[in-house]
Amino acid sequence: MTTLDITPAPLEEPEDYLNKAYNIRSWFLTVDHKRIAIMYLISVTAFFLVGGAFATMIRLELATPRGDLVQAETYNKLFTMHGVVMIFFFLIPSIPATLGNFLVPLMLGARDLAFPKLNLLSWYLFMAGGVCGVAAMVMGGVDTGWTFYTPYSSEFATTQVAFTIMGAFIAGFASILTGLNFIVTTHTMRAPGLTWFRLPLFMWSMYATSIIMILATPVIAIGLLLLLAERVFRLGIFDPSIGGDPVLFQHIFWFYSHPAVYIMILPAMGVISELVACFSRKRIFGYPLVAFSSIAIAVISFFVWGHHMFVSSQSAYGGMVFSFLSFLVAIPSAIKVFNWTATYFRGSVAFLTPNLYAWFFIGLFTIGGLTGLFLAALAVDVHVHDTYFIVAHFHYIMVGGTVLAYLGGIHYWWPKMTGKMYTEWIAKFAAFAVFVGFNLTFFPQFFLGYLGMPRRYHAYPPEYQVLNVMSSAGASILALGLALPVFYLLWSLWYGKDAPANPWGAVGLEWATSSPPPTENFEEQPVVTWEAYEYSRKEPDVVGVTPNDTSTPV
Amino acid sequence: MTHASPTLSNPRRPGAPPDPHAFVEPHVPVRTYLMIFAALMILMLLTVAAAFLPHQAIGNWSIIIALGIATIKAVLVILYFMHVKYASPLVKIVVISGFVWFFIALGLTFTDYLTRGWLPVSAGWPEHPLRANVALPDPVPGPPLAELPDKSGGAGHGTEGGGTEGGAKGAGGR
Amino acid sequence: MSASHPTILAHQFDDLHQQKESVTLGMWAFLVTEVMFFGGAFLGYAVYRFYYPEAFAYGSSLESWRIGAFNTVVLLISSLTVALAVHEAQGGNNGGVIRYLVITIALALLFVGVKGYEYNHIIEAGHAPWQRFTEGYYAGDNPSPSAHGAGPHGTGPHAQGANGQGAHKATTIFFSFYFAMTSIHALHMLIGVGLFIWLIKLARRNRFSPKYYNPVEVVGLYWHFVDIVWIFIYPLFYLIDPKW
Repeated sequence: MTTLDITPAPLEEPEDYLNKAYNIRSWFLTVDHKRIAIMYLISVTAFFLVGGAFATMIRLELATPRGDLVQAETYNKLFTMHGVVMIFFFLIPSIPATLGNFLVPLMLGARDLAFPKLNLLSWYLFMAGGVCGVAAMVMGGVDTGWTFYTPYSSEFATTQVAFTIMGAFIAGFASILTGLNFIVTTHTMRAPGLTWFRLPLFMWSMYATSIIMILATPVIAIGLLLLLAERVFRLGIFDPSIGGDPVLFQHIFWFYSHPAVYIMILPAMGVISELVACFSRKRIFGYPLVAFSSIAIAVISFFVWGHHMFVSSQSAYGGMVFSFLSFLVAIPSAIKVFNWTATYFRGSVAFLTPNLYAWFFIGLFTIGGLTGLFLAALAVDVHVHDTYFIVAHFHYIMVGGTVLAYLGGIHYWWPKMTGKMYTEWIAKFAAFAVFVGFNLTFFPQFFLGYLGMPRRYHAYPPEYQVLNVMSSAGASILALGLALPVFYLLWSLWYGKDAPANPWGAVGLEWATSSPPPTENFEEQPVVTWEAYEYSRKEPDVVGVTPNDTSTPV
Repeated sequence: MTHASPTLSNPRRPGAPPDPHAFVEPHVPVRTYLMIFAALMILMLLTVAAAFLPHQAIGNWSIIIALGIATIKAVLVILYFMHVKYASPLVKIVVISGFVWFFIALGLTFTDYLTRGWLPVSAGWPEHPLRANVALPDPVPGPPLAELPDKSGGAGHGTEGGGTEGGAKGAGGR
Repeated sequence: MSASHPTILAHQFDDLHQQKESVTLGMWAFLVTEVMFFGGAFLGYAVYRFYYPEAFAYGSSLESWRIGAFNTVVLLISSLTVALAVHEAQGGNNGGVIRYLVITIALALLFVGVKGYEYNHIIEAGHAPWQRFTEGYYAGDNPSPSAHGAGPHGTGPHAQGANGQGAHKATTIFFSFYFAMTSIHALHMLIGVGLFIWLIKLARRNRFSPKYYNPVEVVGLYWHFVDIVWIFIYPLFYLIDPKW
């Protein structure tokens, strides 16, 4: 007897922003903030891998005291390009342009950002800048340090300074457009009932970050433009032989670049607030303080740039002013750390990957921040400036801080963005690998710096080798931990479990819509009648949100 | 004066229609524009005239006068031509903060430049060259507008890091 | 909304008022970035003028304050015409919008043309910064015996003495800022001209009405900002020590 071959008709997939259209035009000409966020995610990851490749070369070279892997000039290019790519093309856009772009309209209950076409333009500008920067590397690279100090960069460097500067300049406009979009959207497009103090803390962070983006980025734009003009048109703005002051370039450069590091950390702090609240099932302790601390960090960050210039022949009095102000900026950061910790107290804590990243962040950011206080002390900084102490400090904040928060956020919102769950056990493994590898890489560098090993040198005296080998070994573990998510997250796209609308049982408007969301974000405009992080509420009177849905994946 | 827009500071009550009169700008009469323009022209003439005041007499005041008049002109343009006088408090805050931020940059940078040389802190030379009447060589002559050879040759002017075997620098820094 | 017009409410906005608020706020936020952008250049100018007042005064005296005054008047008139264009748009008078914007474009191009003439004049007189590598740039540079630390090749930036640019090497810095800032300003003006052309195209299709005149208004904001930058550039570059 033959069996009838009856294949049931495939179930209709509900339309979401991903399956709405599949062709190239629908992606490259999209104005949907969610698709733009995905495009940013892919490009930012690509640049991260490029920057990581340079880091690999650096750590390989530094495993031995002699300069035996690359020439000195090549090493200069390696650390320069590592810095340029990681800062301008990875860290600055990372959380704002990927998670921010995806989540801001969702968290505000809006259909899209205020200026969707400008959003798309910002991605193209980012890509243009990035391509320019990579082209510079392919054409021979640049060796001035990511700080482009004059007069070397303006007069004597024979490497691809102009192209690299143009890349950073163009990418800066992407940053400005993103910040502009977020600020306007937050002011004018909040859903009915969504007052400022009902906003998730991630929104406060994005708003504060956007303020920094629009106030600081133009200053480095003009600085780089003047530097470019000096190189190409032989203007004499920083030329010491006619009375120009190279330190002026440093002032202009660091006026942006210090607030820039807060562009990198504030969104990370916003992510951590979300993770801490969700995985302790509690409202963030001291919500208003945490909200205001974001704004305080954004404002005070503009007053402290001179602490990068303590040994630059900046006046000592100026140095004292900047040193004092730099102590101030640590206070709001500390407020956040205390409040996150207090939130966990008597919370219902889950041992899940995003929460792991949050814990690691709090610990590593604290170390990075405290060492920042050491550096704010003028007298200490004079001794450790341009040593590996500084390198360790900023990597604790940028990698131990921002990258970990970025990974935590990606994992947390991955079900929302893709509609798939990743595999928890391998994610945990990767998180531990990152933590162990990171500490092994960078903790020895505090000692190296304190013992006097200068940065940006491709060779060093043999007595520093042990610590350097530890650092390089740690880097290999760190690389493994950072590479794994690329694989298992991609794997989950095809083989992962389908995610429900609210897999973590979190409270927030983004969880009140399907995973992935439809193109217009919400079926109908949500009306907000509850406070932020109201995990105590029992009745699911909110559109689509079941606050006590504790269905957690394996 | 316009109402505060419902979507700016207090989101609408659920279900309430948007306020149609929010954020509507009043018609500034043409006469106002013409008067402001006349004021700007007069101030421009004043600027030029003030520049010819004898420098021996007023010295540093000349820049204060010039910038003061320019500021008045800018304020008139901002308030009337750019309608800030009739705009919401948010717009006013945005405008003011832009200029405040410029002054932050200016002010803190000058805490450096104003105080250089106040403390005899050695930075490797006895006096900062910008203040010393030190003979500086002429600029290095080179091709005027031609491109710098922006190719990476083998021997660039790299940093001093090349393969030093001996002498650790002790406790870093100077 | 009249059925004869294409939809003027963008999809992300709930109503025209939210759209107008957002676009206006967006333009203001952008102008703040421009304040900081030009502000960085003014910062550099301020530092060097503080350090080299005589050099800057000398450089300024080499500029023609009359031409600068002419340009200032041209730009002020253009600000008026833009304000009037916005007024016309508010009233729904698309023809008036076109008239005033055409005049504005003409004034803008006149300004840029005069600027080009000025540049040419400075370059021909040999004061451009990139010319400092040529022979004779510092001509007349005979150090007086009282100049400190005078070497065989040049004097320090503070040295007084002989005429010619060599007396104030830092004058080159003045001209560097002059070229950098005025050319960036001129570029902003040309971008403004492009925006006006776009507005004229819209006006020709009768797009503006009392309900929808925001594009004219925000481009007007941009233009007024460009005017304000020049209001500060003029006295700082042309009027330090003018010669009648």
